[in-house]
Amino acid sequence: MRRLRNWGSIGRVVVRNNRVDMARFPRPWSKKRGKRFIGTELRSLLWETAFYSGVFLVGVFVLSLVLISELANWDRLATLKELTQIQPEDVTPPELEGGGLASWIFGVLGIAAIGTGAGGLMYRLVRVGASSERRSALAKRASSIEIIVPSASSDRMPSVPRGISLTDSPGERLTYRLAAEKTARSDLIGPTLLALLWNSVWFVLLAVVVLGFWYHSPRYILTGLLIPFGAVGYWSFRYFLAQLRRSAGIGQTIVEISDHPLFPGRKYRLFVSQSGRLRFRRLGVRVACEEETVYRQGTDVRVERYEVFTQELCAERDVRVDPQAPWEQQFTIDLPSNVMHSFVGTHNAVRWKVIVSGEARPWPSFCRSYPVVVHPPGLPPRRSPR
Amino acid sequence: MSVTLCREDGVYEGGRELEATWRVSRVTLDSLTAIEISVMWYTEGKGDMDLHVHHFERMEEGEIRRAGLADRQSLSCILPATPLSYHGRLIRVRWCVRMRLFLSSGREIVTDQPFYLVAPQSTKDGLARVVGEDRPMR
Repeated sequence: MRRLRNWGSIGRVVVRNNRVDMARFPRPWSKKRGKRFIGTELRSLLWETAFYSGVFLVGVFVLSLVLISELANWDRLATLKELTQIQPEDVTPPELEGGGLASWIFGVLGIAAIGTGAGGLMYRLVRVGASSERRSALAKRASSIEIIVPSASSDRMPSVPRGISLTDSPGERLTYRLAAEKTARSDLIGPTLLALLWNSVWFVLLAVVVLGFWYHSPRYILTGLLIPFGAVGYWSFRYFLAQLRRSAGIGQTIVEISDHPLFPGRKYRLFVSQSGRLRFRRLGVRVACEEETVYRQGTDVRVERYEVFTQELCAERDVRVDPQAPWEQQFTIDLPSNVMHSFVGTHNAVRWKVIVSGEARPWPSFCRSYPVVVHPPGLPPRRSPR
Repeated sequence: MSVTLCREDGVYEGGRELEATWRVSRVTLDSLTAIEISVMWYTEGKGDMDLHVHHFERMEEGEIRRAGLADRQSLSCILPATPLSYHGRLIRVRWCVRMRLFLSSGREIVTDQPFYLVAPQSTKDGLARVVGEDRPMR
């Protein structure tokens, strides 16, 4: 019996282990036990984005239904009447009569859904790629913007960028945290607008079709067109989610520098931190000076860039990054004395930047630039409050 | 017409004074309507040209008659700290004193006297260098 009990206990252990290994289905009604699966931040971002987009589009749909049924009573909107083929004086039920309580309730609900969806979506997307410290610094800067900005620096060094916005964010390890040249959010604006506008139009057309069927005057051509339009809407929304996943998947890159602006012939410390949950096949950090020219060729305007100076600070392979253990390194930038200072003209520029680039799976390769300003040597450095 | 700089090597530090003299010869007073002298920088290279005038003087006809053309005229200005002369791959930044004569016939005659603007305190050791140029400017 004792043996049997032992076998029984072993059997239970095995079964328990099998249960652990089995795929877990979400059971919101059951009490959570043991280690809870919270999910990754990326997954929550995708779900929240999908949810708010859905709320927005449902709001558009409901509001369209209400507006079409309300405005169809107006004589001057003959085009809309013709489009929906509604004969409101014959078939409009009393609850949809102009100014009815149901119309008001659904109208308000539709507007509320649109506002909630758009607001939630914007709030969630604004947080992509920006730390809370940086958002706080930006909010502080926005509240203290002066209308008249003194131009003493530009008089002292004409055609050298002032770079004031580069030093308004304090760093945690070093003096300044550098701002990225192009944020992850700017990549999302186009896909977001395309997905929301296209799908909004689709839902408005859907409302027209539904009302047509409701009033027994269906528009079959428009119904048929909804299918390819819906396919485009589905593609645009998938593309938006893919862009969002790409932007948020590769974690935040933090670059801090010991002093700014830089002077040729001096040394500076640089701190780089890469967060996220991924494995880099290659990760590199370098300082580069790039010439940029804009020229016209016929009716085209072309931009050409050439790196005239590069100082490689790091080139590592097979770098693993965890949310608990971001990749962090400190480097020393040793600027040679015979390099050109930052210069910005109307068509020509010499730009300095710290570039963090990498290749990771399954994400595409990325390259993030952090502009810095290099002043000519021999000038007294500007006093910094930090 | 000729423009002569106060330094033979034509190398000036940013923030220092530039002095130059100019003279117009073989042109009669009657044929001149105006003279413009400017200290300026411009870009050369693949991109469209950027140009910025740092110091500008214009002499009208009456002023030219009063001053005459026999004597050398002088020009002085404090140079800015930037942009320094640069010889890059796509961009070159050049400084010059440009003189432009407007003739009564409608023609214009232009001459440039180039010079180099280098970083402040870089000519002390006699090895001032234009960025991108291999040889030091002595």
